Amino acid sequence: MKKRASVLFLAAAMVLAAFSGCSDNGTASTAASTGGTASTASTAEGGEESQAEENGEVVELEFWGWWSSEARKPVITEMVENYNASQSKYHVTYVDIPWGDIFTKNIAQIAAGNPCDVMANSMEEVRFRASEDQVESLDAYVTDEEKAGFYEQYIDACTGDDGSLYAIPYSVDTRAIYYNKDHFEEVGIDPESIVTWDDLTEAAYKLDVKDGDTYTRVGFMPLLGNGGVDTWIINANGGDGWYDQETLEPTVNTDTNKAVLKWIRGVIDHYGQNTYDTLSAAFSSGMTDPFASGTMSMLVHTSAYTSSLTQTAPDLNYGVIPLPEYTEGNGNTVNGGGFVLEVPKGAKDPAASYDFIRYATSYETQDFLAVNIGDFSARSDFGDDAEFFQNPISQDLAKCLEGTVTVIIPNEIKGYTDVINPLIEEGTLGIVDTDTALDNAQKAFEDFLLG
Amino acid sequence: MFSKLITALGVKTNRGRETAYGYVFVLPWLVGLLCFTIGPMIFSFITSFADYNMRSVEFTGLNNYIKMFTRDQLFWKSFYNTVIYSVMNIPLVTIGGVIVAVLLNKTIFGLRTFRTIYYLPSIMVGVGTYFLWMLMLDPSNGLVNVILKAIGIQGPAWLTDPAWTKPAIVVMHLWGLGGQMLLYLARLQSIPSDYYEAASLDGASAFQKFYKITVPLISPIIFYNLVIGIIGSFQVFQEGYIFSGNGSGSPAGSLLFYNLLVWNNAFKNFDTGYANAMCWFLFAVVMILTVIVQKSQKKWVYYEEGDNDD
Repeated sequence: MKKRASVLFLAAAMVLAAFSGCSDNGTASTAASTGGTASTASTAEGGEESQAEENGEVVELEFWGWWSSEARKPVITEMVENYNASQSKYHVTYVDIPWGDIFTKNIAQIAAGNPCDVMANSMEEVRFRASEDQVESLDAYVTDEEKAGFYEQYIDACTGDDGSLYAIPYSVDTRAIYYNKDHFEEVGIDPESIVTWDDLTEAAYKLDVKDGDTYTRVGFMPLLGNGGVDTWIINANGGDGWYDQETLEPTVNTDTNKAVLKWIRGVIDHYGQNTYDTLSAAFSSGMTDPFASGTMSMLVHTSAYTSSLTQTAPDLNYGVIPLPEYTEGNGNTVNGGGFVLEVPKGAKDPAASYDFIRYATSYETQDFLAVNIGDFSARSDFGDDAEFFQNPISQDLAKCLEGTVTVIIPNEIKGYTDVINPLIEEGTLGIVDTDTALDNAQKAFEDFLLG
Repeated sequence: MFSKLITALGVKTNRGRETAYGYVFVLPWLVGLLCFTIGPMIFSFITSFADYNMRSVEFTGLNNYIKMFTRDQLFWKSFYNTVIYSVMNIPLVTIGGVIVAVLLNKTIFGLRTFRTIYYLPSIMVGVGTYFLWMLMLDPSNGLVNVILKAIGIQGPAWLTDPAWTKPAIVVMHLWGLGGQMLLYLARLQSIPSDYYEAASLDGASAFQKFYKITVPLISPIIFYNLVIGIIGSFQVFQEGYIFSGNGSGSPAGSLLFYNLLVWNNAFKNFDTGYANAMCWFLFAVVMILTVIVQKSQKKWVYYEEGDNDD
């Protein structure tokens, strides 16, 4: 019995010894807690960093993003190096982590109380992340003057339900219709004549080329590229049309929405399900881009598509037009989003993190990024004379940006899209008729709110 | 150092020392098990009764479980998708593995090459193979439909038609059955040829030999693959995540598998307590199925030399 007890004790002692190897270096327990909700360990590290600052040592910061392509990473790295050279207090390292991993890694870091210092993230979800206590408020660091440098709607998207600012817009995007100029010339269509959806379908069908029963060139398909049903619903409704903006009541099966879905399905029916399936598969596998290869004449896509076309089809002669109006005078509303820089909850030195964010979102840096990557800035102080706008495509996309709305789903109804999207898709795929699909989705949304 | 420590702790007999050393040697594994398996499992079980978002825990009793069974519209959809997929996948991959193994157990020209070819896909794992299959399953230019067209069949839109997405994944898994095949093959090689000779002398047909000799003798491996197959099928995740492009389970929710919904709840909606509750329900389902298969083995699994006692 005694022997067994001593063996157990031995095992326990070894486990403890093994664990002690994993523990912090002791400063954690002795460092003074400086308040806030940050965990003891991170506060302690923060203390160390502040001490390092006082001693004149350089504070190491990690900036996490997912941009790793040849087109983007060197530019971002250069931007970070420029920042490091511009001051001597902080040293930032850019860490790129694949899109599929970065967000789960980030939340795990936050949960563990030891996150990276600056995180790139989606603008649409800032408010949600703030409500989930994942981001540091920037109120203590951002001046009103700095805030005024950005368009109000983007600052609004970065503001939590509690009125605090949680992120700074880093880049924004919009959607437009990209068209093949050579095809347009060949058929004799003036892009400016495409004002309404009817004009769009008329032009699309003129651009079609058929070989027997097979389309060798497709004018346009509303759901391909980077525009889902949402894009057209938002365009027709002048904003998010799935629910009432004030009461948050579902408005999925309104007459307008039914007409929109019918129109989408009508275009797919015109080309046939097979044509749609083939083109859709080509886009999802990512191996061929039917617009870049000239198989499609028009495509709805984001403003970031220009940089991809520069790489995949440098000789393509293309232009952009805004999404047409649902009916004349309805407006060219389009959904857009963007990316922000934020300080994850529990970061060791939020003031230091914000110092880098301030630099990355300053006029000069945003100009540098826009010229070299092609992303649009959320800053409102860019004039037409900025270097970036000398490119005609950029000018046209900037016009689309004017009609762009950033849809922020209110936290109360977060997750409703997961419920309604599969049902709506049954309508677009022709499994059920479009009106029934929307009625089903309306019912599912109502049930979702009850749950 | 340990020797002195052990003596100091009063362990003097050889047997006691051996036990102590035994613990030292298993310690890394034990620590790993405690830290990375048992610990998280206990934590996940506790938080399955809470509103937990990885930042705060608020206990809500059975609320997560009640929501799962009564209010979450996607729960049953994802469960249905997973069950349908498993019902198609498990028997086909198991039967496919046996058939390929039996074929490759014959003495034919280029046998080793064939074995290598069949085994190769099972060592190719990861996202790359899914993209490869996205190309192979392309409705117009993909290899699968081109071959089907050559024999006069108009292939479906595998990954865009909701009715064909799950069969597409099963086809992909059939391609990777080399791992199972290898286990069957190893067992087949150890079956003495006398059994078949004796059966031939008694006038047994090829099918009778397969059914009465081969199947019983490889049944322990079939049993093992079945259990592993059930566990694997219910854990299907990557296929749905990658083929639907954005994790939504599209087209029309046909690829919304159970684990994809768990992932969405945990990492997109930050409803981690609910996701944990879903995990425990899945654990229960898989456990029950495994126990049923385990109990049924007495009826159909043949162990030589009285191994069937347990």
